[in-house]
Amino acid sequence: MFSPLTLIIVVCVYILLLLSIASWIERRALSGGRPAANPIIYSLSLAVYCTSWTFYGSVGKAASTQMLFLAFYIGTTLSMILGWLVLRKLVRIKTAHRITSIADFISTRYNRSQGLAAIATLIAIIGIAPYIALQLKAVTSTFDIITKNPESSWIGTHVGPIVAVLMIIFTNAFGVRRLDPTERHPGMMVAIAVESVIKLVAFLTAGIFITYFIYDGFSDIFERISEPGFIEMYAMQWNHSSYMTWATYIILAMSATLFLPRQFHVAVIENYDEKHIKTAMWLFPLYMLLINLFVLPVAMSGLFMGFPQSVADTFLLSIPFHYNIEWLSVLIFIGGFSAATSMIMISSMAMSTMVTNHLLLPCVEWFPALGFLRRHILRCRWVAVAGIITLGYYFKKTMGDSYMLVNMGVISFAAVLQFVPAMLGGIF
Amino acid sequence: MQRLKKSLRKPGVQVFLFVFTLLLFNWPLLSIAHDRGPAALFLYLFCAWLLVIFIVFLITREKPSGTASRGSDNRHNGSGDV
Repeated sequence: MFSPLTLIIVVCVYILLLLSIASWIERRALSGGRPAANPIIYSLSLAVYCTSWTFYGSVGKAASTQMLFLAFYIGTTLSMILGWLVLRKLVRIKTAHRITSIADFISTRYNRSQGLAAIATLIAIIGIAPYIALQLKAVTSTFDIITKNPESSWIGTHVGPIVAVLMIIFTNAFGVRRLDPTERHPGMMVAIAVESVIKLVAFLTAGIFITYFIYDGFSDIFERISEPGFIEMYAMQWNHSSYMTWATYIILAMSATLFLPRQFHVAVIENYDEKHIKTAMWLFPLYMLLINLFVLPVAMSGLFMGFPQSVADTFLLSIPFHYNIEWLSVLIFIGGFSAATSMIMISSMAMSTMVTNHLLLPCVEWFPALGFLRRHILRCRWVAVAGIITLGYYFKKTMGDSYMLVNMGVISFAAVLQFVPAMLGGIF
Repeated sequence: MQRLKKSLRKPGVQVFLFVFTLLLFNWPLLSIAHDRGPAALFLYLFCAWLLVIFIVFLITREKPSGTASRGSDNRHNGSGDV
């Protein structure tokens, strides 16, 4: 077990490490290099799709519905199959019209309608709050698991606000350091790619440990699942309505892959060369296959060990912690933290651009008294980042305990689905 | 082999693979795997997924590189299909 202070220090050291990588890359980019213009970095940065939802939530979903969680990644794979047709077209349109966000894209394709851009921004803000709440919930609940008596210390009882404030500071330090007309952030992209590698390594290490060191591999786990009464006991029946849910999840994931504001930002705005899409078309789905390989074994292992199904979201951390393997617990916590931070940073950064460009600046035009804000756009973005993360924290505080992780994320996916008709109409 | 490469270069191959993948991961094929138990469903899903990724890999290897938005920072007006 760790003290809350120790864990906060570990997290800060980890983030400072990422920050130094991002700063180094930014310096190289400013001196004329193109350090982030690499298909592997592009593909790994797309893996920001795999958030705490994937890292912890999929295990929770698998513990109650078996393989249903996989629909969200099959849907993404389907989107990437059409990457050369759809994503390449988005990149070309972005290049031709100097587009900076998904709201800007929709507005540009419909006669530069400011009203449409504002509506898209508002939908995105409403849709993103549960998703940020999901990340904060995952970080705080895992923090509680691996710290010693979290209630006894000030840090332990205020971990939610502390994490939210750290996220605001890190997002502004990583991604909103300067105004750039192209809205590219090479340092942040490399940091996100590094985080993607860390969360994959953490999940695979935990999965291998649980599957091969606690149990005797996949066959042992599947033999136990097949024992009479096990599936019935946990009500994991797969019936005809499950196929409907499966198909719905696939459709939601297909739209979210490209049209979630953060995915659009990473896939379209941060794209340096459309050739990189070719690598991402197979590498990104391969990444998702690997990170999902041990989800079902981990979920089933937790149930075999007698952990309640209601806390299945934290099985990945609870199992190694139960065996007192501290290094693995920290690795998993850092992996989960990486998954959460990368999502929060990219989302709030992309949203801050949309808020300033499509909500604030039109207001400044209508109310000349606000004209002074034009000289403080960067500071307005910092405030927007703070506002968006605070909104997510508020959602987590008020409704977070009522939902499992995946169910919170699905709300955001449903919001993003509203963009699809406008986007497809704008592309073709 | 040359014939396969030629097929993979055809413009409709991605749409075909998309439809094929949709069928692969939906009812009724999924229900056949499911009826054989959790292990069979798991094996089916991951093997089929890996197969699809491998086909995408082969397709992307055969795709000619685009001409628009290459080079420095995508900043020029793409001459490609917008």
